[in-house]
Amino acid sequence: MSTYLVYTAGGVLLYALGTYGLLARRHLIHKVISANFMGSGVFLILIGLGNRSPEGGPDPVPQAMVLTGIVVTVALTALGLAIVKRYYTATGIDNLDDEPSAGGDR
Amino acid sequence: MNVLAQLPGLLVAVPLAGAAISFVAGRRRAPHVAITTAFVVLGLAVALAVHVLDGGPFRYHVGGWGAPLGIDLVADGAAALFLVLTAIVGLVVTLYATAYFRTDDETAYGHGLFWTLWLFMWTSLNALFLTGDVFNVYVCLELVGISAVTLVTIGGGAEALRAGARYLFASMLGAMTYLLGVALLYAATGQLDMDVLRTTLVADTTAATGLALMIAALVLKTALVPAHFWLPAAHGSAPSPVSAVLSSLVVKGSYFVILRLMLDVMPAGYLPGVDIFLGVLGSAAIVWGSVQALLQTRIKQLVAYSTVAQIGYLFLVFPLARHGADVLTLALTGVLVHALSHGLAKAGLFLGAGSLMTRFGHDRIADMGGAVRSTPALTFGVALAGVTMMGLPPSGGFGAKWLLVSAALASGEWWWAVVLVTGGLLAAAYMFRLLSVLLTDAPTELHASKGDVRTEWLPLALALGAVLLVLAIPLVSNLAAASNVLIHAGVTP
Amino acid sequence: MGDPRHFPALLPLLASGGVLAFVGRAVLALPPTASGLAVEMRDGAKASGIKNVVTAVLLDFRGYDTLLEIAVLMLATVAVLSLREDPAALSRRIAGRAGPVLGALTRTLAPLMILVAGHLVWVGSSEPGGAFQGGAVLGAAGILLVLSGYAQPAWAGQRIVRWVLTVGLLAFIGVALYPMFGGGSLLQYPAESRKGLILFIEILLTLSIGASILSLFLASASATAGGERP
Repeated sequence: MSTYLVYTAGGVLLYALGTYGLLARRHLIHKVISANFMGSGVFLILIGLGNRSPEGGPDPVPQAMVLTGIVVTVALTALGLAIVKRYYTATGIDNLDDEPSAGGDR
Repeated sequence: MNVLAQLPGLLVAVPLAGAAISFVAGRRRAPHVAITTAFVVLGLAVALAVHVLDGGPFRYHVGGWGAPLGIDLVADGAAALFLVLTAIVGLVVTLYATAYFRTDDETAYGHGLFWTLWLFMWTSLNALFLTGDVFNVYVCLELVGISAVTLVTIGGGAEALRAGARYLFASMLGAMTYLLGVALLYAATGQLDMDVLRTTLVADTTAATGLALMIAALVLKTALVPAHFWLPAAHGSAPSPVSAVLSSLVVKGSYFVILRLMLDVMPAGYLPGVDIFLGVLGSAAIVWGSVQALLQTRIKQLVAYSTVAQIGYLFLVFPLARHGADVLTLALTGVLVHALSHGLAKAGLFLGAGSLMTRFGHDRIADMGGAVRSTPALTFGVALAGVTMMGLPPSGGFGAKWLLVSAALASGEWWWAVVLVTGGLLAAAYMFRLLSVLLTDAPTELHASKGDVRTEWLPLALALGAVLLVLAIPLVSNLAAASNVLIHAGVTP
Repeated sequence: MGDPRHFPALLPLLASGGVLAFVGRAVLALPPTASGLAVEMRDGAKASGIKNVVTAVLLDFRGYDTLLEIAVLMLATVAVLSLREDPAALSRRIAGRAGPVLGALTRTLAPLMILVAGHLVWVGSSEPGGAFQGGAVLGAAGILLVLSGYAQPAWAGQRIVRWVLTVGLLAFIGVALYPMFGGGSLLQYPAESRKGLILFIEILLTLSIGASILSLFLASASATAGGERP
């Protein structure tokens, strides 16, 4: 089995795990972590599939895409955590299923 | 500098500079920066539309490289239409917001950071409508998503935070799925530019899977039933100027990419059955969204479900596109007119709802009787917006329905016409429900208006624009004809 | 929405199972060798004189992506700032505490980290490195200094902070717009000053990125009685 397939398969597995987590897990922080799983999975897939050059050496385009993707994921995660924390401080709820009783800020 | 040739670059760089400047300018001067930027961008967008009408679509090579090395911006008729819509709604919302967000509380509305966030969102929409590179679409989608989610929460409140969190997770799911699609597409084709893909795409499992994932992610971001679960809460609990932008512009952004991918990049039938499937989902959205709107008791929830329904109309172009250039022209012009008229009317409706909520002090439809006596201009605006939603002649909404029904009949698939007519009837039902309360002639005690001319008359202006759009349909047709989708399909302008 | 235990469990399983199957099939269908755009990028980088191809792709060919990406990071910082519960979060004294171990580590590591950040930016044109990498290390150094009490953000007035956060993006936009006056398009650096302009942007970006990361951390600190570290 070629090297690139190992990394790519790992990426696909991570992505699938992350999808399950994002949809199934109740706790908001778990959802954020699952989204990061998905992101890491896609990055592995990008790097893995970008390593098939016949001359050897990686393809720089997927690497640039991953670098950009990492920054974007950091931004999304930061925002996600800020919202989760703010929501929790306002209502004491850590999931999306429970309804907040009246109130919160404002 | 030849401004006309630089318009695509300016349309992205100017609002971006505005966002950065508004951040360093501080909370007191930020609104002024925003208003100035809004006027400038409107001028640029109109100039681009005129330029495309004159000389046809053109490509702008960022960095001077050109695809496939660099990223190209594509300025065609459809892009110009959406840019102008964004600029008009953007300017009106900016002006409305200067009244709506006026407060002495320094920590309100995100510590005064609304203007910066809003200008970032405007930049991201412009960039999304202009980009010709599928990876660049990902970055633009993220910009749109982050600004949209934050703006939903900017008014504070547990409900808005919860809606924002749900919107964020839906956004994340969509973003990761889209990026995975791009990864597969690039691995299979080695290309990222949409025009290059259009000419080099061949039947290939990996490329098809990648494109299918991209379409699925974009469908989630456009909130097409059944992926609409995040929209009513988000659009319903955001502050009204934000809801206006979300419903009229943000959902159109991801839709525009679907248009490009399905009708321009992919050859017909590349993803078997997907075009019909999208049409079926669109029909379901029209029915389901309208029925849900009928059941709502709070005004912004009604308007939000109306958006779910109206989004469905936009997806009827895909099944109709299989029937040749003439039907495609009718159908594409129809959805473009619909996007424009819905954009204007829905923005007017949300701004109007916001003003009504301020005047009445609550958001219960049933208790908003007598509005026509106390705020006639506002009520008239809401009523006019309803006219476009229902598709009553003469209005932009009617024009859109007319074009789409013609396309459906010309294609022989008459059942889509049935869906269109049903949609109109259902829209009439929920709009009448709202208007019948507002138009009751009863004296009411209202709170003081938050702003005067801006909050009372701007919604009316937008709704009027949506109605008068019917006069501009020939213009829209010309711009549609100058779109890559039609040009590449062999339709001569 | 019915019983929240059973119903949702089915959908995620179907979704992730479906993903595994479809994506797996798509990946296995790929040929074992393909070069994508690697050849064009390598030739292009050689011509433009930047030895590290990834930096050439990021800041030259696809510099537009990077411009929007900086916008994303800055937008996220503004977003997190807008969500802060403590209005003075950026300028409040955070009483960090450092025991003997942490103190010694910080005194050694922090200056090193700042040097490493500078080094990463400088070599970015010929070896792996660049503004993002340097900015991340710089931001981490800042957080370490604040947490161990060696830096008190209270000295920074709001206005200075806003400028440091924005200067990278503003410089990038300025450099992007400048070629338009000479008839070029956005981000079309003139050939002679290409390397210098890219380095200039990278240095300012590193500052802004480092400040962004530090701000993301500080803005999330909650206000507690006595202004103590959370």
